[in-house]
Amino acid sequence: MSSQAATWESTAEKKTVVPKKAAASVKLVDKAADLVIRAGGLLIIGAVFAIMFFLIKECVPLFMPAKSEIVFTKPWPGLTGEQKPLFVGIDNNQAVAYALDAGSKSLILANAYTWQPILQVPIPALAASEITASYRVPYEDEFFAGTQDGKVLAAKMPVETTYGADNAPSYLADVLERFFVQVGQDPVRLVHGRVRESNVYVAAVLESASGQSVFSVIAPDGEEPVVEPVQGQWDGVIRQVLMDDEGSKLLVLTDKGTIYHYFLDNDRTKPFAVYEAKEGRRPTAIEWVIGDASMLVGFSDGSLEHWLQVRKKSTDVMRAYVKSYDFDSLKGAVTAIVPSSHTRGFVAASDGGSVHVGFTTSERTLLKLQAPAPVEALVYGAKNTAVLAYDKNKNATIWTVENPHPETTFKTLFSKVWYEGFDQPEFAWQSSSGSDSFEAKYSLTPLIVGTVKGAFYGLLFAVPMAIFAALYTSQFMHWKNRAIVKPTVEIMAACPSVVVGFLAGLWLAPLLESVTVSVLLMVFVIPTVVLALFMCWSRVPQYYRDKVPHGMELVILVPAVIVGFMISNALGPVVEDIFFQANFKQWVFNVFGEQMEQRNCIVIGLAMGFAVIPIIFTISEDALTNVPRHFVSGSLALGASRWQTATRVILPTASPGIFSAVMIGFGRAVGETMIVLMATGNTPIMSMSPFNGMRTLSANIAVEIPEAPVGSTHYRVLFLAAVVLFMMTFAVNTAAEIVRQRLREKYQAV
Amino acid sequence: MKAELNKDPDLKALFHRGEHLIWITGAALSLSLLMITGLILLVISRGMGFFWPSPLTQVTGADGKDIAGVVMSSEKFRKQGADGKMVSGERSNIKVGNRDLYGLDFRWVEHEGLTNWCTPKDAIQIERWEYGDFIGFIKSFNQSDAPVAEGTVAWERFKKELPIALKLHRKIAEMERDEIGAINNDIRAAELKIKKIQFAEKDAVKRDSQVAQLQAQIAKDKVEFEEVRVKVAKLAESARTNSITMLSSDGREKTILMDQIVRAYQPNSMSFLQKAGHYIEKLTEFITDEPREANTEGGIWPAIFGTVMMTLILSALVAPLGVVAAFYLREYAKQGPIVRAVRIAINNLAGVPSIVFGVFGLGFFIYTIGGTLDSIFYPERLPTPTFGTGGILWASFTLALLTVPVVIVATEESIAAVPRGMREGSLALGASKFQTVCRIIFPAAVPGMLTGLILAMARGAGEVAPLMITGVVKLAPALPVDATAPFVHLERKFMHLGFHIYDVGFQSPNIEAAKPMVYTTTLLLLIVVVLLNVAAIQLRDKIRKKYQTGAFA
Repeated sequence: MSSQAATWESTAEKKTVVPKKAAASVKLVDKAADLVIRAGGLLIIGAVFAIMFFLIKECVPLFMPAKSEIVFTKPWPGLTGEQKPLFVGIDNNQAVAYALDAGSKSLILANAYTWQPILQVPIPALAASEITASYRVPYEDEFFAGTQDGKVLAAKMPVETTYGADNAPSYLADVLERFFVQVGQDPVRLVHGRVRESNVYVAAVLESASGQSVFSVIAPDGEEPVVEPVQGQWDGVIRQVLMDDEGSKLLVLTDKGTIYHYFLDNDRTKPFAVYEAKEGRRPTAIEWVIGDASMLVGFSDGSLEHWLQVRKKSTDVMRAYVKSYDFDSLKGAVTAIVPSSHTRGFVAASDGGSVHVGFTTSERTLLKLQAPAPVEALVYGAKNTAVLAYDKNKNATIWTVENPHPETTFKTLFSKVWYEGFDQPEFAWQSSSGSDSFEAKYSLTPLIVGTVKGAFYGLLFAVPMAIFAALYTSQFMHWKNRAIVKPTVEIMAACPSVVVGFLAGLWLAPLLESVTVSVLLMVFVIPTVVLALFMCWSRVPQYYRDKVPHGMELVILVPAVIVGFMISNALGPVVEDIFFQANFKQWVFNVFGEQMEQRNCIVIGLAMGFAVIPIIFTISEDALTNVPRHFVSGSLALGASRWQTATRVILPTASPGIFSAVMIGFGRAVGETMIVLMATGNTPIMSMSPFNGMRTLSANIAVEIPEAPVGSTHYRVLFLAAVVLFMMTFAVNTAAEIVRQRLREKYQAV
Repeated sequence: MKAELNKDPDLKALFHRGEHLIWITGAALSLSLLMITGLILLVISRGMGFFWPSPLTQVTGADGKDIAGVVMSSEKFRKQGADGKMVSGERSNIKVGNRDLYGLDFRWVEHEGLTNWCTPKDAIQIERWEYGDFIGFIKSFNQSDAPVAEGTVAWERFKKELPIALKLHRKIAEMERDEIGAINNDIRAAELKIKKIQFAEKDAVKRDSQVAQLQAQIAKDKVEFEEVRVKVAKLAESARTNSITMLSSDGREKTILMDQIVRAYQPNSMSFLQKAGHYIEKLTEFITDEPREANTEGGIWPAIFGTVMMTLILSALVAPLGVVAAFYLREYAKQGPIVRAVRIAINNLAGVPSIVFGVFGLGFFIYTIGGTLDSIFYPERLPTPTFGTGGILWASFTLALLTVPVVIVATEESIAAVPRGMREGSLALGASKFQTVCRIIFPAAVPGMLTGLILAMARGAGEVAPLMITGVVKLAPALPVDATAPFVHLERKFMHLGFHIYDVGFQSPNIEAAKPMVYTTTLLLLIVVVLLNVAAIQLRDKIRKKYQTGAFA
């Protein structure tokens, strides 16, 4: 065909055919049309590539490295005291920075962009006593303060920025007291806590001449706080206490480097030592990652580790802390760790002035910043786009951080990741949940496995069926029948996949549940019936046999297959009784240890097979029919039977075409959406077992993309899933297409 | 078997020649053909039957209570007997209706212990606007809560009153939709105008006066709204005066207001003609009405309309684009490795999963182009998106992209089939290239293009996955074409037959009740797609024959 077009092209180019007398308007129209058609054609072709380009463009930000810029290093305006501020923070809009000033006992607010002082909010409760300890909850506008006379204050400090007519901001800040409670008589040296909904959980360390004592202060749902002591023998001066957001776990870090762990609900007297002090390197800072299920531990040598709680044996009472990852080391001992307010990100700083931004799930050290002096206090902005460090020289340094997708790396997307709550690294896809502190799991591997699994079981059924059918149609069938068969198969190809999926899910799946054995039996029964019939047929007198000419076997075969159906259906329960203890499902469970789901791979195989058979059939049939006729004639003339001719001459010659048919069928099965959506359970599992379902890339996209916020990591990961799908089918189809073109050339040559 | 073979040289020869294997390949083909015919027959048998009135069966249960309903299906099943052994029994799925009394309107009943199977002549099935069907017996016809007729008299009276009640119901619905809807539209439009003025008008005085004017109009509309509402409430009050009291099979009484009833019939005493009439009535309702009861009752008109409209927009987009691209590839582009690569790319595009097109449509058409359109033309409506959310236009664009390879390939094929002699003849007679393309090649290639277009339409009508994310909804509040200016609303979301099947079949809380609708919708979709494909195949065969016998070949 192409050679013909090429010749036509060459005649056109000579231009001798257009007579000179032709009207100018004709020429003009001709030129214009030429232009329009070329432009239109190129546009369409451009669109094809634009699709790929656009899809990839949407995924690129997932792999961009983090960027950061230093905004300024300046002293805090309006900070009066000689001491360092008790804590520093930035409000939820990242517009206002604030510090708790020990001298004036007030919050000092500054505009985070211009560094102009804004307000000073006094804290009346603390006016009478000296503040000795404080802690700001990193993900709420909440803070705690301890006083010289043994009291602990829990308070909320909402900061509101409103913009007036000329876009000038005005600020409203307040300190709302939650409780102010007497814990003991000695000065409070350390305080730490969490606020969840309206439950407040605080841990405080009081210090007297005789020693140190630890207390928990728990105020559930706005009720009066309950103060209870926590006992224990600690090997040194307590450097840090950590309270979790359920008021049940309490961690104590001493200056010797031992970490003690309490379960407050079980035993308040005897802690587990989760980390024994060692010579040389010792932990200097610890903090929960959001969700309070794992923690970050900073050491005296600047190393930073992520620890997960893992159940090593199923009988373990306590999940031991296990190091899951080493982040890049900081300069000097780690002094502060602050978790992000809504992701698994964090900032850590050291007395060498290093400030590192990292992310636990993806095990990435995103940024390595340097502050001008040892860092004393640290803030991670609520939107994770700003970091503030307060250093020994009484300067605040603000950096902008640009990194919208810290949670994705090639590793988190395609390989095993050690998530919180998991006992070992695993593949998992779990994109969203109701809770804020949820750790999103974006491993595409289970989805890719599911996709391949669905396609595999579909092809397992479709390939033999389609190739046998194509072989029969092209080689043995009477041409009159072909005129019926081919359009019928085309109708099969046109059958909307939603119809197939609906029948598979609502009709076939429940039906199969009761007749699984019968269906499995059909694999053996139908060929047996056909062979038996064949043997009977061969005994029929030649006279009658000739009435059904070669190529008309279908007339007998269709009823034979129906009889096969019926026999299998009748045999099913009998076989189930004899071989499977009368309950196939139970038998599967006993033998394979797997629950057989209603929407399993037999359903998918049949439904997907139905969708793929026509494609494989049509392409293979084409390839088989197009084998040059003289091959057949030669083979038959040499005495080969028609089956021998078909399998030893035709099939090998056409095998590239059949290969490409299977490839294209695979491509179709991989991309099928509605069938898998409706006929599988859509659970993302890593298993090739035929007894359960799967979740494929395509079904996953269809289900999740309407809910994914534009530009979010989830959204982009789903685009990546689409790209993966695109690439898979594109590669397979291109290979198939090239094979087919080669084959066509080969046929033309012989 | 070997011994047998030796005894029968004929059979041995057959085996040797592989004849039996040919039979096996034939069996594979037979199975494939049986699968497709089986699917079509299944859909037809399920889809056609649901509207035919089935007999109401009554049976006395083991507890002495009567169960009345339509036997949907019966099956043999196996269960653990009293002695722990598996025994087989029989059970039926009975549609008992009366969801408001029983909670569930379908019930599996085991046959063991059931007595008194009968089909009482006076059993009545009532279709209601809400709570599904009621199945039972009439006790009395009431006016203002007082019974005025009982038994058969009540049934006769009821049959006389029902058309009146239905008329009233329709009138109320019309008033609510048309009059109240129009006023609501006015108010919404005025509110948007106010927003727009506040957004765009810089002159404070002008702004305030315009806003005041519009607010006055809104106030006027609201008064009018109140008037219509009172009128409707009065009509609704009068519709509630008449009622019937029904007895369920287990003896419970239920009073049903006349304006809750769609239709009522006694299937056990209907003649064949009556049944046929009922069937036609239901079928008409199915095709021309809107869905009720979470899409499990009523009709699918909006889905039919949406599918057809989307397919038409899609054809309008895909036909010119596909044809121009095909002409470019065949007649204008220089044949060579690039064109061959492009052809591979286009063939490939036909194999790209449809959901990928959906993702592209969502990201590019909706969020990128639609979002930009919104910020330029409809800033006053933000953050509520107009074009920045799924709609029929974007869905059609997406499907056009999906189906354009089909048209390109089919058109190219038909252009290639035009004999070279025709072109050369035309050029030799002095026609320009465009004249040749226009007057010689194009007419000859038209049937091929039509084939491609029809195939594209069929693909578009049956495709669901990309639509799910680009604008199809389970229940659209309004059709994309209506009486409100500008009459055609391409930004609206729409309903689609294929998605309707998915939604009703899989998202519906009451799947049993939804089954009739799903099967019937499936049948309709299958008919449309199969007919389109048969047309395409016929057309293609015709062209092939034409050029096979053509003098130029």
